[in-house]
Amino acid sequence: MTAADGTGSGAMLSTHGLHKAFGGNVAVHDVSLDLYPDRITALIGPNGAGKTTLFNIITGYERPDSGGITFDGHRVGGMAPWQISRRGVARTFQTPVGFPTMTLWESMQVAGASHAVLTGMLTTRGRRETAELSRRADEILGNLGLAQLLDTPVDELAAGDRKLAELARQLMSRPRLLLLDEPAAGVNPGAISRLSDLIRDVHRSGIALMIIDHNLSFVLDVADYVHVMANGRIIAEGTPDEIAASPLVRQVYMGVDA
Amino acid sequence: MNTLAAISALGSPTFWMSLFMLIGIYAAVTMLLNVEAGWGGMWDLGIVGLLAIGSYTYTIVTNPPGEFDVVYSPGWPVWAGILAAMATTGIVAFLVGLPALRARREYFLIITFAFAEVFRQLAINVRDLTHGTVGFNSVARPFESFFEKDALRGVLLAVTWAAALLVYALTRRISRSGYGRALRAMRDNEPVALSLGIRVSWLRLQTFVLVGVAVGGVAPLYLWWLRYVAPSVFEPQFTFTAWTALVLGGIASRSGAVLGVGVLLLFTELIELIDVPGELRNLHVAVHPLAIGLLLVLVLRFRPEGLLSERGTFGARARQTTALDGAGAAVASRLRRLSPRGDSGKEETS
Repeated sequence: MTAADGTGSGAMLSTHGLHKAFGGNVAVHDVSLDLYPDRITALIGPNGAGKTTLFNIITGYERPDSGGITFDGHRVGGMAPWQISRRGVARTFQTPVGFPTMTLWESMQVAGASHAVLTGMLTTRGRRETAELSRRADEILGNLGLAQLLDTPVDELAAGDRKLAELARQLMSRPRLLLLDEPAAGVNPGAISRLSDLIRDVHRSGIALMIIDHNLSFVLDVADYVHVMANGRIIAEGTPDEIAASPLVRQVYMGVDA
Repeated sequence: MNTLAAISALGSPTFWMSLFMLIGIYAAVTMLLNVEAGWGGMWDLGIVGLLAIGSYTYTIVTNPPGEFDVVYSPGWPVWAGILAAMATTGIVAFLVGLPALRARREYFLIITFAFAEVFRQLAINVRDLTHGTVGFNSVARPFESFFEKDALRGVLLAVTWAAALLVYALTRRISRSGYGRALRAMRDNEPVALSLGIRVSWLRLQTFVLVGVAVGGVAPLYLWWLRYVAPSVFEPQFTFTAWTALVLGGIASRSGAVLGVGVLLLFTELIELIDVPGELRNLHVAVHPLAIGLLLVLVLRFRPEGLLSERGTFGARARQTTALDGAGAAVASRLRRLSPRGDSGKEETS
């Protein structure tokens, strides 16, 4: 366990006054939040609240109109997605398409391999790298209960397994912070509690987590701290108990999505 | 009598020599196209442009000084000509790729197609350097002083096939490397590839340059067989043939490119052989593309992925051949036997 000291100063990721509009549509409005490695943070809110846009800004897929992001004390706002990834921020995507022409095992090898033409083809380095990636893939797939599916093409996986495969693949890049975009969507209700356990295991292994999801009971169960977003703003934050009790949240969020 | 003529042509060594020479050259280019388009998802419809640049560079720098009325002919030896062709083609690929690779799919396709045509027009019009539409009617060939005419053809055929084999080894290495996987990942899903730290724009440019350098190296082989250089050699037909072969053989399959070229060229050369009376000549020529189209439709009707498939190259076996520890391979093969997907991995038996 490498979780840092308590709350307060040890924020791993901070956003300051992030703002993003698409035409006249303000998707993210003055969002400032801190993310601490020692707790699982969740972001909830009705459809169109700006949650995924916020994820996209943090991971470099969208450029904010204004505001900044610091990760680990370094400004990462405006960096390209691959640069942010190499700094240790990984994410999953809402629709877990992945690499449809690859087997699960192959798609696990993409992360962490040499992507440059020459280094990627030099024999010794390539071989050693493959062996090392292979070991790590086996370990991760084993932990997630996917070991028996390693030769299955990604596009033939069941919906729930595909979600896990997405998680497994992003873990291969050894992230320090992992952003999960709707991990419970499409997972059958019986498997949700297992998903919660897996997510807690990932967190316990020393990876900071932030989760977006619609499934309120899942989020309140797995998260230690919750931010509520509506119309591009953070309207409330607190522990799951505080959030569940907040009348404002009931009105804005549950009223829409109950 | 027509059939008789065709049969006698079939027996001639010249026919087979030419056919195998063409197969070797097209196979090398198509395998490289597969790296770029099949694995990298960069739909390059201008690969003949790269071939043209390599060809003109080679010819211009190796022409004996004074033989042609052009402003530059340093008379370099053959090996220097090959290196010059590779370097120039690589540099041009870099310069073209810089703007073109910002576009994706069909937009990239249009840009590369245009680039190849622009270069062909330049070859026609920059007469001081390229000798215009006439081009050059002789090409420097290696080993000319060591072998007499017939033997030289055999030697050059062997060199060509050795080069094609080298390209195959290169693509094989790529397919098993992190680089190759990054290419396919970027093609399959660019956002996810980016999220894994793959610098997509740089990877695309590197690949385009790699293909450029390699095609530049293949160009002299083509010229040794053709023995002339002219703008008409570099019409889009060459690109279309390579693409047709790639689709036939199975796009993104490693050996598919070779098989596709073999099948397509054998088929077209055999059609060519059919001897028809003079009044039907025009029809014969017109039927040619029709027959290729028919072959393509027929293959894709029954094998939509082509004769071989990407899964044949990268299926379950990818694990067995890349994992170092024998235990992992044993587990993988046991799992494979249990899995119902029996048709994967049909292609490779390494």
